[in-house]
Amino acid sequence: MSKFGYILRKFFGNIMGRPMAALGSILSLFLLFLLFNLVWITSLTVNNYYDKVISDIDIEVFLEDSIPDSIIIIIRETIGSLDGIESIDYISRDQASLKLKDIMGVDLLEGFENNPLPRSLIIAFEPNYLNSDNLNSLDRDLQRMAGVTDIYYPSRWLVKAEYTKLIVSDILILLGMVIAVAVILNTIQFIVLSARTRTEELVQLQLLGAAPGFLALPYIFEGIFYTLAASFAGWIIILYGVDLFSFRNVEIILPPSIEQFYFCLAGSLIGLIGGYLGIKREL
Amino acid sequence: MEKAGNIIELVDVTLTGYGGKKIFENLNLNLPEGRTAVISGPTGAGKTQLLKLIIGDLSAESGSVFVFGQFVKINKHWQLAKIRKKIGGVGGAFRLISYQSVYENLLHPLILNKKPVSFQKNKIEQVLNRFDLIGKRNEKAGCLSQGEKIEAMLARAIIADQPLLLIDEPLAGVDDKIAEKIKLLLVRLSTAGHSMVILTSNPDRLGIPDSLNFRLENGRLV
Repeated sequence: MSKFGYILRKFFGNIMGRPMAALGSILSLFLLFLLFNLVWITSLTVNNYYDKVISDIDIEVFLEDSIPDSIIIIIRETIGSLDGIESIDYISRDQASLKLKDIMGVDLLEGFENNPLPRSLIIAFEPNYLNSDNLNSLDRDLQRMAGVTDIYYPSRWLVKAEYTKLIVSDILILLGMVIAVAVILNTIQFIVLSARTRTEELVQLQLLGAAPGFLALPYIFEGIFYTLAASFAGWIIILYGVDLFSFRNVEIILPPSIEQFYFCLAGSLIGLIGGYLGIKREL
Repeated sequence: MEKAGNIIELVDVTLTGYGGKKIFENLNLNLPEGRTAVISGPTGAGKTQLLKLIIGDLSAESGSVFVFGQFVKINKHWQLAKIRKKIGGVGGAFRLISYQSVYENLLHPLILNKKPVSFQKNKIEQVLNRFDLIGKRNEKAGCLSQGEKIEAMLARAIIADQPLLLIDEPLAGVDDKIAEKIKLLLVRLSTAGHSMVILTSNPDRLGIPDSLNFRLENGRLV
Protein backbone atom coordinates (compact mmCIF):
# COMPACT_ATOMS: atom_id res chain seq x y z
CA MET A 1 0.00 0.00 0.00
CA SER A 2 1.31 3.44 -0.88
CA LYS A 3 1.35 6.32 1.59
CA PHE A 4 -1.49 8.01 -0.25
CA GLY A 5 -3.48 4.77 -0.34
CA TYR A 6 -2.96 4.42 3.39
CA ILE A 7 -4.18 8.00 3.99
CA LEU A 8 -7.33 7.38 1.91
CA ARG A 9 -7.96 4.07 3.64
CA LYS A 10 -7.70 5.69 7.06
CA PHE A 11 -9.99 8.53 5.96
CA PHE A 12 -12.71 6.15 4.78
CA GLY A 13 -12.03 3.90 7.78
CA ASN A 14 -12.60 6.81 10.18
CA ILE A 15 -16.02 7.47 8.63
CA MET A 16 -17.19 3.93 7.88
CA GLY A 17 -15.83 2.60 11.16
CA ARG A 18 -18.07 4.95 13.16
CA PRO A 19 -21.06 5.56 10.87
CA MET A 20 -23.41 6.86 13.58
CA ALA A 21 -20.82 9.30 14.92
CA ALA A 22 -20.14 10.49 11.37
CA LEU A 23 -23.86 10.93 10.70
CA GLY A 24 -24.31 12.80 13.99
CA SER A 25 -21.42 15.11 13.12
CA ILE A 26 -22.82 15.86 9.67
CA LEU A 27 -26.34 16.47 11.03
CA SER A 28 -25.25 18.92 13.69
CA LEU A 29 -23.10 20.83 11.19
CA PHE A 30 -25.96 20.67 8.68
CA LEU A 31 -28.27 22.46 11.14
CA LEU A 32 -25.74 25.26 11.58
CA PHE A 33 -25.32 25.69 7.83
CA LEU A 34 -29.08 25.53 7.31
CA LEU A 35 -29.58 28.33 9.84
CA PHE A 36 -27.05 30.46 8.00
CA ASN A 37 -28.68 29.70 4.65
CA LEU A 38 -32.07 30.79 6.00
CA VAL A 39 -30.71 34.11 7.23
CA TRP A 40 -28.83 34.58 3.96
CA ILE A 41 -32.00 34.01 1.94
CA THR A 42 -33.95 36.31 4.27
CA SER A 43 -31.37 39.02 3.74
CA LEU A 44 -31.49 38.66 -0.05
CA THR A 45 -35.29 38.63 -0.03
CA VAL A 46 -35.48 41.72 2.18
CA ASN A 47 -32.95 43.51 -0.04
CA ASN A 48 -34.91 42.62 -3.14
CA TYR A 49 -38.19 43.75 -1.56
CA TYR A 50 -36.55 46.99 -0.42
CA ASP A 51 -35.14 47.66 -3.91
CA LYS A 52 -38.54 46.98 -5.46
CA VAL A 53 -40.40 49.29 -3.08
CA ILE A 54 -37.82 52.03 -3.16
CA SER A 55 -37.81 52.13 -6.96
CA ASP A 56 -41.34 53.63 -6.72
CA ILE A 57 -40.21 56.51 -4.51
CA ASP A 58 -40.18 59.97 -6.01
CA ILE A 59 -40.02 63.50 -4.62
CA GLU A 60 -42.85 65.93 -5.15
CA VAL A 61 -41.77 69.60 -5.21
CA PHE A 62 -44.62 72.09 -4.70
CA LEU A 63 -44.28 75.47 -6.32
CA GLU A 64 -45.39 78.93 -5.30
CA ASP A 65 -48.65 80.11 -6.91
CA SER A 66 -47.15 83.40 -7.99
CA ILE A 67 -44.12 82.27 -10.00
CA PRO A 68 -44.41 82.48 -13.77
CA ASP A 69 -43.93 79.52 -16.09
CA SER A 70 -40.53 80.86 -17.22
CA ILE A 71 -39.20 80.49 -13.66
CA ILE A 72 -40.66 76.97 -13.47
CA ILE A 73 -38.65 76.08 -16.58
CA ILE A 74 -35.48 77.41 -14.92
CA ILE A 75 -36.23 75.45 -11.71
CA ARG A 76 -36.82 72.33 -13.76
CA GLU A 77 -33.54 72.74 -15.63
CA THR A 78 -31.63 73.40 -12.41
CA ILE A 79 -33.05 70.26 -10.79
CA GLY A 80 -32.42 68.24 -13.96
CA SER A 81 -28.72 69.16 -13.82
CA LEU A 82 -28.33 67.57 -10.33
CA ASP A 83 -26.87 64.05 -9.87
CA GLY A 84 -29.09 60.99 -9.88
CA ILE A 85 -32.17 62.56 -11.48
CA GLU A 86 -33.83 60.31 -14.02
CA SER A 87 -36.87 62.40 -15.00
CA ILE A 88 -38.88 65.47 -13.95
CA ASP A 89 -42.57 65.74 -14.70
CA TYR A 90 -44.47 68.99 -14.38
CA ILE A 91 -47.95 68.69 -12.83
CA SER A 92 -50.27 71.64 -13.50
CA ARG A 93 -53.20 72.57 -11.27
CA ASP A 94 -55.65 70.81 -13.61
CA GLN A 95 -53.53 67.63 -13.73
CA ALA A 96 -53.29 67.71 -9.92
CA SER A 97 -57.08 68.04 -9.71
CA LEU A 98 -57.56 65.04 -12.04
CA LYS A 99 -55.07 63.02 -10.05
CA LEU A 100 -56.91 63.78 -6.81
CA LYS A 101 -60.18 62.76 -8.39
CA ASP A 102 -58.60 59.50 -9.57
CA ILE A 103 -57.27 58.74 -6.12
CA MET A 104 -60.42 59.68 -4.14
CA GLY A 105 -63.05 58.56 -6.65
CA VAL A 106 -65.04 61.81 -6.27
CA ASP A 107 -64.33 65.43 -7.14
CA LEU A 108 -63.52 66.96 -3.76
CA LEU A 109 -62.91 70.36 -5.33
CA GLU A 110 -66.42 70.70 -6.74
CA GLY A 111 -67.43 73.47 -4.32
CA PHE A 112 -64.31 75.58 -4.91
CA GLU A 113 -64.47 78.54 -7.21
CA ASN A 114 -60.78 78.30 -8.11
CA ASN A 115 -58.62 75.18 -8.11
CA PRO A 116 -56.63 75.50 -4.81
CA LEU A 117 -54.13 72.76 -5.62
CA PRO A 118 -50.52 73.91 -6.16
CA ARG A 119 -48.43 73.23 -9.21
CA SER A 120 -45.66 70.72 -8.65
CA LEU A 121 -42.70 68.87 -10.10
CA ILE A 122 -42.38 65.11 -9.64
CA ILE A 123 -38.77 63.94 -9.60
CA ALA A 124 -37.89 60.31 -10.33
CA PHE A 125 -34.41 58.97 -9.54
CA GLU A 126 -31.87 56.63 -10.95
CA PRO A 127 -31.99 53.28 -9.06
CA ASN A 128 -28.56 53.57 -7.40
CA TYR A 129 -29.20 57.08 -6.18
CA LEU A 130 -32.13 56.23 -3.94
CA ASN A 131 -31.15 56.37 -0.30
CA SER A 132 -32.09 58.58 2.62
CA ASP A 133 -28.77 60.50 2.65
CA ASN A 134 -29.01 61.48 -1.02
CA LEU A 135 -32.66 62.40 -0.73
CA ASN A 136 -32.04 64.48 2.42
CA SER A 137 -29.25 66.33 0.68
CA LEU A 138 -31.45 66.94 -2.35
CA ASP A 139 -34.27 68.02 -0.04
CA ARG A 140 -32.00 70.69 1.49
CA ASP A 141 -30.90 71.93 -1.95
CA LEU A 142 -34.48 72.16 -3.17
CA GLN A 143 -35.65 73.99 -0.04
CA ARG A 144 -33.14 76.71 -0.80
CA MET A 145 -34.52 77.30 -4.31
CA ALA A 146 -36.72 80.33 -4.88
CA GLY A 147 -40.27 79.45 -5.88
CA VAL A 148 -40.32 76.11 -3.98
CA THR A 149 -42.86 76.04 -1.12
CA ASP A 150 -42.81 72.46 0.04
CA ILE A 151 -41.20 69.08 -0.64
CA TYR A 152 -42.72 65.71 -0.01
CA TYR A 153 -41.25 62.22 0.03
CA PRO A 154 -41.64 59.34 2.58
CA SER A 155 -38.47 60.23 4.46
CA ARG A 156 -39.32 58.46 7.73
CA TRP A 157 -40.42 55.32 5.98
CA LEU A 158 -37.22 55.35 3.92
CA VAL A 159 -35.05 55.61 7.05
CA LYS A 160 -36.93 52.70 8.67
CA ALA A 161 -36.64 50.55 5.55
CA GLU A 162 -32.91 51.26 5.31
CA TYR A 163 -32.48 50.47 9.00
CA THR A 164 -34.30 47.15 8.57
CA LYS A 165 -32.09 46.29 5.60
CA LEU A 166 -28.99 47.17 7.61
CA ILE A 167 -30.13 45.11 10.63
CA VAL A 168 -30.75 42.02 8.48
CA SER A 169 -27.35 42.47 6.83
CA ASP A 170 -25.64 42.89 10.24
CA ILE A 171 -27.41 39.80 11.58
CA LEU A 172 -26.17 37.86 8.56
CA ILE A 173 -22.57 38.95 9.15
CA LEU A 174 -22.74 38.30 12.90
CA LEU A 175 -24.46 34.96 12.46
CA GLY A 176 -21.96 34.04 9.76
CA MET A 177 -19.08 34.66 12.16
CA VAL A 178 -20.77 32.81 15.04
CA ILE A 179 -21.59 29.87 12.77
CA ALA A 180 -18.05 29.77 11.36
CA VAL A 181 -16.66 29.62 14.91
CA ALA A 182 -19.29 27.04 15.94
CA VAL A 183 -18.50 24.87 12.91
CA ILE A 184 -14.76 25.06 13.64
CA LEU A 185 -15.28 24.17 17.32
CA ASN A 186 -17.65 21.32 16.45
CA THR A 187 -15.28 19.98 13.81
CA ILE A 188 -12.38 20.15 16.28
CA GLN A 189 -14.38 18.09 18.78
CA PHE A 190 -15.47 15.54 16.16
CA ILE A 191 -11.88 15.12 14.97
CA VAL A 192 -10.53 14.89 18.53
CA LEU A 193 -13.08 12.12 19.26
CA SER A 194 -12.22 10.39 16.01
CA ALA A 195 -8.48 10.57 16.78
CA ARG A 196 -8.99 9.34 20.34
CA THR A 197 -10.53 6.12 19.10
CA ARG A 198 -7.20 5.55 17.33
CA THR A 199 -4.78 6.90 19.95
CA GLU A 200 -2.91 3.59 20.11
CA GLU A 201 -2.33 3.66 16.36
CA LEU A 202 -1.28 7.32 16.32
CA VAL A 203 1.24 6.80 19.14
CA GLN A 204 2.76 3.72 17.53
CA LEU A 205 2.93 5.25 14.08
CA GLN A 206 4.70 8.28 15.54
CA LEU A 207 7.25 5.96 17.15
CA LEU A 208 7.67 4.15 13.84
CA GLY A 209 8.55 7.43 12.16
CA ALA A 210 5.30 8.72 10.70
CA ALA A 211 5.55 12.45 10.05
CA PRO A 212 2.85 14.69 11.59
CA GLY A 213 1.48 15.59 8.15
CA PHE A 214 1.05 11.95 7.20
CA LEU A 215 -0.87 11.24 10.42
CA ALA A 216 -2.94 14.40 10.19
CA LEU A 217 -4.15 14.14 6.59
CA PRO A 218 -6.90 11.50 7.07
CA TYR A 219 -8.37 13.62 9.88
CA ILE A 220 -8.14 16.83 7.88
CA PHE A 221 -9.95 15.06 5.02
CA GLU A 222 -12.52 13.89 7.55
CA GLY A 223 -13.12 17.49 8.69
CA ILE A 224 -13.48 18.64 5.09
CA PHE A 225 -15.86 15.79 4.33
CA TYR A 226 -18.15 16.59 7.29
CA THR A 227 -18.45 20.30 6.48
CA LEU A 228 -18.72 19.78 2.73
CA ALA A 229 -21.47 17.18 3.16
CA ALA A 230 -23.27 19.38 5.72
CA SER A 231 -23.12 22.58 3.64
CA PHE A 232 -24.18 20.70 0.50
CA ALA A 233 -27.08 19.08 2.35
CA GLY A 234 -28.04 22.54 3.66
CA TRP A 235 -28.55 23.79 0.09
CA ILE A 236 -30.33 20.65 -1.09
CA ILE A 237 -32.91 21.09 1.68
CA ILE A 238 -33.30 24.82 0.93
CA LEU A 239 -33.75 24.25 -2.81
CA TYR A 240 -36.30 21.52 -2.09
CA GLY A 241 -38.11 23.67 0.49
CA VAL A 242 -38.32 26.76 -1.72
CA ASP A 243 -40.22 24.75 -4.32
CA LEU A 244 -42.79 23.78 -1.70
CA PHE A 245 -43.58 27.26 -0.42
CA SER A 246 -44.74 30.37 -2.22
CA PHE A 247 -45.74 33.77 -0.86
CA ARG A 248 -48.16 36.07 -2.61
CA ASN A 249 -46.36 39.37 -2.23
CA VAL A 250 -42.82 38.29 -1.59
CA GLU A 251 -40.52 36.66 -4.05
CA ILE A 252 -37.98 34.43 -2.26
CA ILE A 253 -34.51 35.20 -3.58
CA LEU A 254 -31.84 32.50 -3.60
CA PRO A 255 -28.18 33.30 -4.07
CA PRO A 256 -26.83 32.43 -7.53
CA SER A 257 -25.49 28.90 -8.04
CA ILE A 258 -21.90 30.13 -8.11
CA GLU A 259 -22.36 31.71 -4.66
CA GLN A 260 -23.88 28.48 -3.34
CA PHE A 261 -20.81 26.70 -4.69
CA TYR A 262 -18.49 29.22 -2.99
CA PHE A 263 -20.48 28.74 0.21
CA CYS A 264 -19.81 24.97 0.11
CA LEU A 265 -16.17 25.72 -0.68
CA ALA A 266 -15.95 28.08 2.30
CA GLY A 267 -17.60 25.36 4.42
CA SER A 268 -14.89 22.93 3.31
CA LEU A 269 -12.20 25.45 4.20
CA ILE A 270 -13.70 25.79 7.68
CA GLY A 271 -13.70 21.98 7.89
CA LEU A 272 -10.04 21.94 6.89
CA ILE A 273 -9.18 24.43 9.64
CA GLY A 274 -11.27 22.50 12.20
CA GLY A 275 -9.77 19.18 11.13
CA TYR A 276 -6.23 20.55 11.32
CA LEU A 277 -6.74 22.13 14.75
CA GLY A 278 -8.46 18.97 16.04
CA ILE A 279 -5.71 16.56 15.02
CA LYS A 280 -2.98 19.00 16.04
CA ARG A 281 -4.25 18.73 19.60
CA GLU A 282 -3.88 14.97 19.52
CA LEU A 283 -0.43 14.67 17.92
CA MET B 1 23.77 19.43 14.53
CA GLU B 2 25.38 16.28 13.08
CA LYS B 3 28.00 13.94 14.43
CA ALA B 4 29.69 11.16 12.48
CA GLY B 5 30.85 7.83 13.90
CA ASN B 6 28.73 5.95 16.39
CA ILE B 7 25.16 4.94 15.63
CA ILE B 8 24.11 6.13 19.10
CA GLU B 9 26.04 8.63 21.17
CA LEU B 10 24.90 10.04 24.50
CA VAL B 11 27.14 12.78 25.88
CA ASP B 12 26.89 13.87 29.53
CA VAL B 13 23.16 13.34 29.66
CA THR B 14 21.37 14.43 32.82
CA LEU B 15 17.73 13.69 33.52
CA THR B 16 15.70 14.31 36.66
CA GLY B 17 12.53 12.39 37.44
CA TYR B 18 9.50 13.22 39.57
CA GLY B 19 10.32 14.57 43.01
CA GLY B 20 13.76 15.79 41.89
CA LYS B 21 15.31 12.31 41.82
CA LYS B 22 18.26 12.15 39.42
CA ILE B 23 17.67 9.39 36.89
CA PHE B 24 20.79 10.06 34.83
CA GLU B 25 23.78 12.16 35.75
CA ASN B 26 26.43 12.81 33.10
CA LEU B 27 25.54 9.57 31.40
CA ASN B 28 27.64 8.62 28.36
CA LEU B 29 27.05 5.86 25.84
CA ASN B 30 28.60 5.03 22.48
CA LEU B 31 27.25 2.30 20.26
CA PRO B 32 29.30 1.60 17.13
CA GLU B 33 27.49 0.39 14.03
CA GLY B 34 26.78 -3.34 13.94
CA ARG B 35 27.28 -3.87 17.67
CA THR B 36 24.84 -4.87 20.39
CA ALA B 37 24.71 -3.14 23.73
CA VAL B 38 23.03 -4.96 26.59
CA ILE B 39 22.09 -2.51 29.31
CA SER B 40 20.94 -3.99 32.56
CA GLY B 41 19.63 -2.54 35.75
CA PRO B 42 16.98 -3.13 38.35
CA THR B 43 13.41 -1.99 37.88
CA GLY B 44 13.27 1.80 38.18
CA ALA B 45 16.90 2.30 37.19
CA GLY B 46 15.85 4.28 34.12
CA LYS B 47 16.10 1.72 31.31
CA THR B 48 12.84 2.75 29.66
CA GLN B 49 13.73 6.47 30.07
CA LEU B 50 17.00 5.75 28.27
CA LEU B 51 15.06 4.22 25.39
CA LYS B 52 12.73 7.24 25.34
CA LEU B 53 15.71 9.61 25.22
CA ILE B 54 17.10 7.76 22.20
CA ILE B 55 13.82 7.92 20.28
CA GLY B 56 13.20 11.54 21.23
CA ASP B 57 10.19 10.81 23.40
CA LEU B 58 11.93 12.46 26.36
CA SER B 59 14.21 15.45 26.50
CA ALA B 60 17.41 15.54 28.56
CA GLU B 61 17.93 18.50 30.86
CA SER B 62 21.52 18.75 29.78
CA GLY B 63 23.84 16.86 27.51
CA SER B 64 23.26 15.65 23.97
CA VAL B 65 21.77 12.61 22.31
CA PHE B 66 22.91 11.72 18.78
CA VAL B 67 21.33 8.94 16.74
CA PHE B 68 22.69 8.20 13.26
CA GLY B 69 24.84 11.28 13.81
CA GLN B 70 21.73 13.48 14.15
CA PHE B 71 21.11 15.55 17.27
CA VAL B 72 17.83 14.32 18.74
CA LYS B 73 15.53 17.19 19.62
CA ILE B 74 12.08 16.48 20.96
CA ASN B 75 10.24 19.29 19.17
CA LYS B 76 11.77 18.78 15.73
CA HIS B 77 8.98 16.50 14.56
CA TRP B 78 10.08 16.07 10.96
CA GLN B 79 13.67 15.31 11.92
CA LEU B 80 12.50 12.90 14.64
CA ALA B 81 10.30 11.11 12.12
CA LYS B 82 13.31 10.63 9.83
CA ILE B 83 15.37 9.15 12.68
CA ARG B 84 12.55 6.95 13.97
CA LYS B 85 11.94 5.42 10.54
CA LYS B 86 15.36 3.85 10.84
CA ILE B 87 14.67 2.41 14.29
CA GLY B 88 12.90 -0.85 15.01
CA GLY B 89 11.43 -1.03 18.50
CA VAL B 90 10.32 -3.84 20.75
CA GLY B 91 8.71 -3.38 24.15
CA GLY B 92 8.66 -0.30 26.36
CA ALA B 93 6.93 2.44 24.40
CA PHE B 94 6.84 0.21 21.32
CA ARG B 95 3.74 -1.97 21.15
CA LEU B 96 1.65 -3.67 18.52
CA ILE B 97 -1.60 -1.97 17.58
CA SER B 98 -3.97 -4.37 19.33
CA TYR B 99 -7.01 -3.97 17.04
CA GLN B 100 -5.04 -4.47 13.84
CA SER B 101 -3.93 -7.78 12.37
CA VAL B 102 -0.32 -8.93 12.53
CA TYR B 103 -0.13 -8.30 8.77
CA GLU B 104 -1.29 -4.67 9.17
CA ASN B 105 1.16 -4.11 12.03
CA LEU B 106 4.01 -5.30 9.85
CA LEU B 107 2.83 -3.17 6.95
CA HIS B 108 3.39 0.17 8.73
CA PRO B 109 7.22 0.34 8.60
CA LEU B 110 7.12 -0.68 4.92
CA ILE B 111 4.66 2.12 4.07
CA LEU B 112 6.58 4.68 6.09
CA ASN B 113 9.87 3.68 4.49
CA LYS B 114 8.22 3.92 1.05
CA LYS B 115 8.87 0.31 0.07
CA PRO B 116 7.20 -0.53 -3.26
CA VAL B 117 3.69 -2.01 -3.04
CA SER B 118 4.76 -5.10 -5.01
CA PHE B 119 7.52 -5.74 -2.48
CA GLN B 120 5.40 -5.35 0.67
CA LYS B 121 3.32 -8.54 0.55
CA ASN B 122 6.27 -10.81 -0.25
CA LYS B 123 8.42 -9.21 2.41
CA ILE B 124 5.76 -9.58 5.11
CA GLU B 125 5.23 -13.25 4.24
CA GLN B 126 8.94 -13.86 4.18
CA VAL B 127 9.41 -12.29 7.63
CA LEU B 128 6.33 -14.02 9.07
CA ASN B 129 7.74 -17.35 7.89
CA ARG B 130 11.09 -16.55 9.45
CA PHE B 131 9.43 -15.85 12.82
CA ASP B 132 6.98 -18.79 12.58
CA LEU B 133 4.05 -16.38 12.58
CA ILE B 134 2.58 -17.10 9.16
CA GLY B 135 -0.40 -18.85 10.76
CA LYS B 136 -1.10 -15.71 12.80
CA ARG B 137 -1.05 -13.43 9.75
CA ASN B 138 -4.67 -12.29 10.03
CA GLU B 139 -5.04 -12.54 13.78
CA LYS B 140 -5.56 -9.35 15.77
CA ALA B 141 -2.38 -8.41 17.62
CA GLY B 142 -4.33 -8.09 20.85
CA CYS B 143 -5.18 -11.81 20.68
CA LEU B 144 -1.54 -12.97 20.51
CA SER B 145 0.30 -14.52 23.46
CA GLN B 146 3.09 -12.47 25.09
CA GLY B 147 5.75 -14.52 23.30
CA GLU B 148 4.04 -14.09 19.94
CA LYS B 149 3.72 -10.37 20.54
CA ILE B 150 7.46 -10.05 21.13
CA GLU B 151 8.16 -12.11 18.02
CA ALA B 152 5.77 -9.98 15.97
CA MET B 153 7.40 -6.79 17.30
CA LEU B 154 10.81 -8.17 16.39
CA ALA B 155 9.47 -8.97 12.93
CA ARG B 156 8.17 -5.39 12.64
CA ALA B 157 11.49 -4.05 13.91
CA ILE B 158 13.52 -5.56 11.07
CA ILE B 159 10.99 -5.72 8.22
CA ALA B 160 12.05 -2.46 6.59
CA ASP B 161 15.76 -3.19 7.18
CA GLN B 162 15.86 -0.68 10.02
CA PRO B 163 19.54 -0.26 10.92
CA LEU B 164 18.96 0.10 14.68
CA LEU B 165 16.89 -2.05 17.04
CA LEU B 166 15.82 -0.89 20.51
CA ILE B 167 14.56 -3.76 22.62
CA ASP B 168 13.13 -3.28 26.11
CA GLU B 169 12.78 -6.34 28.35
CA PRO B 170 12.44 -8.91 25.56
CA LEU B 171 12.02 -11.84 27.95
CA ALA B 172 9.54 -10.26 30.35
CA GLY B 173 6.43 -12.37 30.91
CA VAL B 174 7.43 -15.32 28.73
CA ASP B 175 8.09 -18.89 29.75
CA ASP B 176 11.48 -20.58 29.34
CA LYS B 177 10.58 -22.25 26.04
CA ILE B 178 9.53 -18.99 24.39
CA ALA B 179 12.44 -17.18 26.05
CA GLU B 180 14.86 -19.61 24.39
CA LYS B 181 13.24 -18.96 21.02
CA ILE B 182 13.45 -15.16 21.45
CA LYS B 183 17.02 -15.43 22.69
CA LEU B 184 17.93 -17.40 19.60
CA LEU B 185 16.30 -14.76 17.39
CA LEU B 186 18.24 -12.00 19.16
CA VAL B 187 21.52 -13.88 18.81
CA ARG B 188 20.84 -14.35 15.10
CA LEU B 189 20.06 -10.67 14.65
CA SER B 190 23.20 -9.71 16.57
CA THR B 191 25.46 -12.00 14.60
CA ALA B 192 23.82 -10.80 11.36
CA GLY B 193 25.27 -7.37 12.18
CA HIS B 194 22.18 -5.48 13.39
CA SER B 195 22.96 -2.61 15.74
CA MET B 196 20.93 -3.24 18.87
CA VAL B 197 20.34 -1.81 22.30
CA ILE B 198 18.77 -4.39 24.60
CA LEU B 199 17.50 -3.24 27.96
CA THR B 200 16.95 -5.95 30.52
CA SER B 201 16.75 -6.50 34.25
CA ASN B 202 18.17 -9.99 33.84
CA PRO B 203 21.24 -10.00 31.53
CA ASP B 204 22.27 -13.56 32.47
CA ARG B 205 19.12 -14.89 30.87
CA LEU B 206 20.02 -13.29 27.52
CA GLY B 207 23.59 -14.25 26.80
CA ILE B 208 24.22 -12.37 23.56
CA PRO B 209 27.75 -13.19 22.40
CA ASP B 210 30.21 -10.39 21.70
CA SER B 211 27.88 -7.75 23.13
CA LEU B 212 28.86 -4.58 24.94
CA ASN B 213 27.53 -5.00 28.47
CA PHE B 214 26.61 -2.04 30.65
CA ARG B 215 24.91 -1.69 33.96
CA LEU B 216 22.81 1.32 34.98
CA GLU B 217 23.96 2.32 38.43
CA ASN B 218 23.26 5.60 40.19
CA GLY B 219 22.33 7.29 36.95
CA ARG B 220 25.48 6.23 35.08
CA LEU B 221 26.46 3.37 32.81
CA VAL B 222 29.22 1.22 34.21
